[in-house]
Amino acid sequence: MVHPVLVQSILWIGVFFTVVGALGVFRFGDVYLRIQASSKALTFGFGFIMLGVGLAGDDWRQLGKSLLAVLFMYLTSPLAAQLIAHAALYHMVVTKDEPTMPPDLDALAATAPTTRDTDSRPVPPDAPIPRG
Amino acid sequence: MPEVLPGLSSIPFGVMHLLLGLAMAAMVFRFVAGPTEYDRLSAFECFVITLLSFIALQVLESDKAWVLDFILVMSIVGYLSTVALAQFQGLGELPDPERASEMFGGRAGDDVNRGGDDDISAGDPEDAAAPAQSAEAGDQGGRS
Repeated sequence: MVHPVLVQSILWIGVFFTVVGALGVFRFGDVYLRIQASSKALTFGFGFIMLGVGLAGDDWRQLGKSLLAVLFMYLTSPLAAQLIAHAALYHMVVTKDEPTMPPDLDALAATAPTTRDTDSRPVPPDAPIPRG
Repeated sequence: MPEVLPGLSSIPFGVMHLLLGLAMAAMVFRFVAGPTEYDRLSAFECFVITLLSFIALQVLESDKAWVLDFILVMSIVGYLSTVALAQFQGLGELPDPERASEMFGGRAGDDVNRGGDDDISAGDPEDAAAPAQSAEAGDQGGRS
């Protein structure tokens, strides 16, 4: 259906982004950075590889299945990454370079509402910062 | 499935498989040596995605198009397992508003879970026990 050189180019783009995402997972020093590397680069590479596989077949079903897998992965990978990041943030995993958490507690307590919305995170005062 | 493309044999599948295998080895290292549980969770998800890419290349190489169904099913299974593990790890005990108001309102946070690895490992039975108790309470309320 498509020229093999085009298929090979798309596959190489996908392999490149997958390897770069794996390098980020291997090298980054923080949970959030690793989640960022995995959830963007790996999903992009997976999309390109599946696009190449779908274009290589002479059947429309193969392209449909590949694009369905890509669509599902594009829908679910940010959700999973957000869940993992939310869980890590809830358990006070701080970043490696500088402790961005917990923030200024006096300023937070001055503007604290009585009831808490679900998006704000619990911040214990003067907690020891766990190095993650 | 008939022959896919005549020129596909010129694609160096071995090099691509080697690179994806190195990527999966890096993720296995992160899974083993992750400092926190969330590193292991994210490494697991990355491993699943890279394994699906590996299997997709295997589809092109071995000319078996029905393996794409396995890719669809495995993506669903990987996503659901990641969500379940994330719920069990971190979101098992969401703070109720009363406790949050205690936490934010003046008192110096006496009974606040301060996080850290020890508290995470110590909080796992509570995570498992708290939804069961709430479910039982909900059932009893529904019956009465």
